[in-house]
Amino acid sequence: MLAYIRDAKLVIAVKTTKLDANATMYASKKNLSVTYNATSIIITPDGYNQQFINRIKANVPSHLRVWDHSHKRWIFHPTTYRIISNMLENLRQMGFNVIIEQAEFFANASNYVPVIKEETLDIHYIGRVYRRNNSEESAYGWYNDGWNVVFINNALQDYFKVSTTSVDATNYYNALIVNETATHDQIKRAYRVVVKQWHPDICSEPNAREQFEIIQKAYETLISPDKRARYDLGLKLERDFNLLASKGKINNTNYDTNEVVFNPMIKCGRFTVRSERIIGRVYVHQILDIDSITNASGQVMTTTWKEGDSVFTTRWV
Amino acid sequence: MNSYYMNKYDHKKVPAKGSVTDVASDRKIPLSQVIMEAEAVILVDTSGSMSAYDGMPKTRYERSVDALEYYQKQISGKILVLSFSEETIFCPNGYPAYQGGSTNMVEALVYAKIADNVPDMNIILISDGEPNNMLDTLDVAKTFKNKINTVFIGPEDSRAGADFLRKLSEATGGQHTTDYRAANIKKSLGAMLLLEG
Repeated sequence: MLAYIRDAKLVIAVKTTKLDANATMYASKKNLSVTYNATSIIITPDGYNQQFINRIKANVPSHLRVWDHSHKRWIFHPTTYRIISNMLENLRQMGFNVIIEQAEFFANASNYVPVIKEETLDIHYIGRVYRRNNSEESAYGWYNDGWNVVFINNALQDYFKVSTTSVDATNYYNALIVNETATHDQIKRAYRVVVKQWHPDICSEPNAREQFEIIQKAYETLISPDKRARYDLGLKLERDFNLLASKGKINNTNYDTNEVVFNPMIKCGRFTVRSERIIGRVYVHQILDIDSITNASGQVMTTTWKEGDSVFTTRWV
Repeated sequence: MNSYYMNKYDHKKVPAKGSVTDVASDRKIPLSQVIMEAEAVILVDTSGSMSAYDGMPKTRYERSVDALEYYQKQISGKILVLSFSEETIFCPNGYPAYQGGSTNMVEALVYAKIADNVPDMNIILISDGEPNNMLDTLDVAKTFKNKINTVFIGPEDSRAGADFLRKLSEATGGQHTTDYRAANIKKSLGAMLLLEG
């Protein structure tokens, strides 16, 4: 008992000491070590500090920063150097000790030149396009067990040929993600890729059935030379007319000014892209090609995210 | 560009019954899908001379429009109307936009070439005069796979115009009708659309 009590006292004592120690630790975690390399700005705090974290989140857009768990440090995109510079100055005034490890930090950061190369990535899911903190629109892709790919919206729009006129909202070429000069074989190949992703038995996306029907109709039209010729005539005439109407040269009671909601037709695949690797992520500047991901049995990967689920599901078909 | 409209044929009015716009609106489908089902492309001359009355209550232009209105009602969604003068304009509301300029038939045929990719598309050209450039117009016409049928609606003293249109249709294996001053434009157009005997 005494021993227990003694032990209890010891425990309490230890705990108290530990609490005091922690309080001291938190109060003193105001040292920031800043370094710069060719592709990032790194800030290593000497411990957890809520003030510092708040500053980061308020000032730096989420897609331009990442927390490196293994090294307990923040990594920032070099284009944020002005933001970081201002932020560090503010933190100094708040009593933080900012240690610049790399003297040429600010000078070099302004000379950052992106290194863009072509690569192929197996992306298991592309999320929706969102507007980020700095009003840039982008979508994240699941790659290498994390949301490690960022698609700039322009890259997605250029590839999926999104337009703001209604004539292109139901454009059959867009539905199959092919150019309007696509050959017969290219149309066939594109159909095989897209139809598997959107089959209602496999796909749980909210608009799966509607997309599937458009894909079917698109294929039936574009695979027949006669129907395709008729369709091309319709596309051209409608576009020409809308163009004149948009310039006010023709009164058109049917001119459609509705914006199209962007809906990428491919949710997963083997993407060939032109990209830049930065702060541990892949930034996609341009999509060159998309193919299916297949397994050893020749099955094709499809992924879908049902509304209400916390994660996407994968199926092989 | 000149004004596009003449009096009651202003595009602000509702589309012609049976025009591709009317059908698209009725069936709630994109215009491009209605166009897919078209069987005839009618190129209508809307140059300055088309405002001539020829001693009749309506101008050549107005008489042509009346005929187009009639047949679009007969065969809903099957007729594509293109107005040509200085430029060529697709008029899905069924009324050819009046331009009142010169007769740039070359551009009209170049524009209509995309319709030539559709097998058996009935291409009909209605004009009351000679084009700006006859040789170039014939050269373009000869590249067509489909026949170009022509209707001349100019005055009797404009034989050169009638002869030219005859030559143009012959170059493509098409038919020609001379309908001086558009006196019987409805019947002439009907014959070209294979709807009148």
